[in-house]
Amino acid sequence: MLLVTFSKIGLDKDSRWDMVTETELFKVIQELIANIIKHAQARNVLIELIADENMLYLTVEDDGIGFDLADNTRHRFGLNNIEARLSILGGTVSFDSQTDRGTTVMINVPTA
Amino acid sequence: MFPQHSAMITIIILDDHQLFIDGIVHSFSNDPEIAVTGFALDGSSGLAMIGEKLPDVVLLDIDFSKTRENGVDILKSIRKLPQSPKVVVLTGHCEASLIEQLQREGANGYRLKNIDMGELRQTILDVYSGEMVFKYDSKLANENRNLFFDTPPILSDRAVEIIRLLSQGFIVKEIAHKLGIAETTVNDHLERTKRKLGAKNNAELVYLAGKSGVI
Repeated sequence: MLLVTFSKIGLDKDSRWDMVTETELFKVIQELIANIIKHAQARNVLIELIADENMLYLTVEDDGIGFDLADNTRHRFGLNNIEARLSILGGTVSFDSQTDRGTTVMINVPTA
Repeated sequence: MFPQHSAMITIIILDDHQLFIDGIVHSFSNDPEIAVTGFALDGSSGLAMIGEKLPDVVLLDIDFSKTRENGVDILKSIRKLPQSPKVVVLTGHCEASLIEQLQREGANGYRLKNIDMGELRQTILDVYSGEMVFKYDSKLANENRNLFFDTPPILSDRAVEIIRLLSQGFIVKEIAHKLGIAETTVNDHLERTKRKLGAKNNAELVYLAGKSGVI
């Protein structure tokens, strides 16, 4: 079982963004979670959303087996797909992982 | 004093203020749906009572000044019980990092103590039916971000590692090299951590992290 925790900073229940941003980010999160289920052997996932006036910072962090960043991460995490989605939004993605210490995916999307 | 109410939503109150407990007990004394089946003025006896009475919902305070207990720790202990109830945190503290921590530790609700009895009642009903009820003034919570009460902000091990290296005088490029990650990755960690701690720049981040005992 995967325990998903959602944490948010700087936004409330009524915070909304344009439809493209919301839809693409939703799909990105969906894809990341699917990847975690498929590959990570994680028990916990943290989805964290931080918003300020200009940016949305999305973090998806798991406590799974992680991977060696020197490996071909693009193939492994469907990064191309995610990068394609983010390019629509003018956003960026970075990965951090260590073997047996989980994986953190950090996505920045401009909102202003 | 507390009769069995098998068909009702049973609640237990953990709060170190007797008057506050009395008020809730009194106002639910004739409630058709909610029955207070117990209360405790400290965490350890509260935990024992929860384990014994198996309430549906626990109303949990954060500050137990007399026993120096913390509601977040009590919540963690509640979550380790074999039959863990729904937990609504009732506190005077409106602070973003506390709220985030409560969400992470599996609280089902968070309300400030300035709500009225009707709102409390509705919160209990909503949480009992499976909803998450976190209501607070997010602006106030963010303003209070740096007022650490008992709960330090939640930072990943990696974030702490990076702040520690910053505090030792390493620059981003060196940190990236040391950890075998990209510079943008280091910066992504830093941007997030700065926002969590309310720091304007890396220097303030190191200062705040040191002050709050994170590094």
